[in-house]
Amino acid sequence: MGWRLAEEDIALLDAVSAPPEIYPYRFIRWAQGLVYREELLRR
Amino acid sequence: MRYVPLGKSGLYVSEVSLGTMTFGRETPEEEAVAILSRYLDAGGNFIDTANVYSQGVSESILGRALQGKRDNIVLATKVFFRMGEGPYDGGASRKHILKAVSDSLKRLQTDYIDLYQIHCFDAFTPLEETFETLAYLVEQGHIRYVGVSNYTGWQITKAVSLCEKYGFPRPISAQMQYSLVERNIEYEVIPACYDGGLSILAWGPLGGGFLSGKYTPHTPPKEGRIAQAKKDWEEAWERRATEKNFQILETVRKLAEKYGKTIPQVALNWLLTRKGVNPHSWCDGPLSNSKTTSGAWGGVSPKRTSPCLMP
Repeated sequence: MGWRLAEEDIALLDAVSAPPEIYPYRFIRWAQGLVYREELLRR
Repeated sequence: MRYVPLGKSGLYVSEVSLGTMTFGRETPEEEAVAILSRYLDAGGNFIDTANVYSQGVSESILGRALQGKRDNIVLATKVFFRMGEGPYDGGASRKHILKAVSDSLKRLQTDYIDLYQIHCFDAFTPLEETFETLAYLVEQGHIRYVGVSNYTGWQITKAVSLCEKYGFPRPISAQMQYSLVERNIEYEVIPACYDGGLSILAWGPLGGGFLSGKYTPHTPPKEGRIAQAKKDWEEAWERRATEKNFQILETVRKLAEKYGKTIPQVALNWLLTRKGVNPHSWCDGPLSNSKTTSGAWGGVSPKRTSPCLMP
């Protein structure tokens, strides 16, 4: 496999094949990110 | 061929491995041996089978074909699915694993298995029993490394944690269905593998043949893995033939034209870009057929072995 897809083509394939967004995961990522950012500000 | 460490271990394997699920089934022995030769000639050294593949026939074919070559091969097999109707003919209990590993060693005509994988999570056996048995097999020299397959994220994390707690050898790989048309392991399994130091061995990297490029909308296949799949299987036509999947296929087709490659080559190359993922696809449905393997791999090796998921 001596060749590799270019970055923009990898991004294209990533986008077209992305699994559907599942709301609870989106919420968890948002909530954990929020907590993480708040903790960072405190420290 | 690149060689990459498998999980958090010192075991280096070729980044593309050889799957042998159809050996002894759709792929007769003569053809299987030819595929194996081409894979080895291309620099591959990582061969994966399972006791249940063709009810042991795949292992037996490999046992015969690998005589005199064993030392340079990383040989992987699996245990879990039923090999008979008896109460101890399946599962991940100590009793079944000890019998199964003995049988696999005989069929493979070898003294040791490099990577021994639990083919599926066993909800009826304590995980401690399974991994204590695997630790015993490592101590006895029957197996070198431990892997899992078809586990969920929490099952992987639990397995890694109990191995750390009891000092058992940790699993170094998780063999999971993964391709451009099946990316759901990205929700939980890949993060768990990343955290636990496991490589992903991607089975079905061409979506059970969907990414071979021979399928078109509204024309269900009459033969091959997708045609044979039951309706609740992942690769069933009803599940695969979605508008989104044909959009993916069309994108891959355009990229294949751009690079002067085949559709499967582009689909596998995408997998090679995924951190810690090793495609595993010589036997991905129709690709195991000698008429199509050369087109799929362009004479280079097929199923991919993944670099470690750790940063």
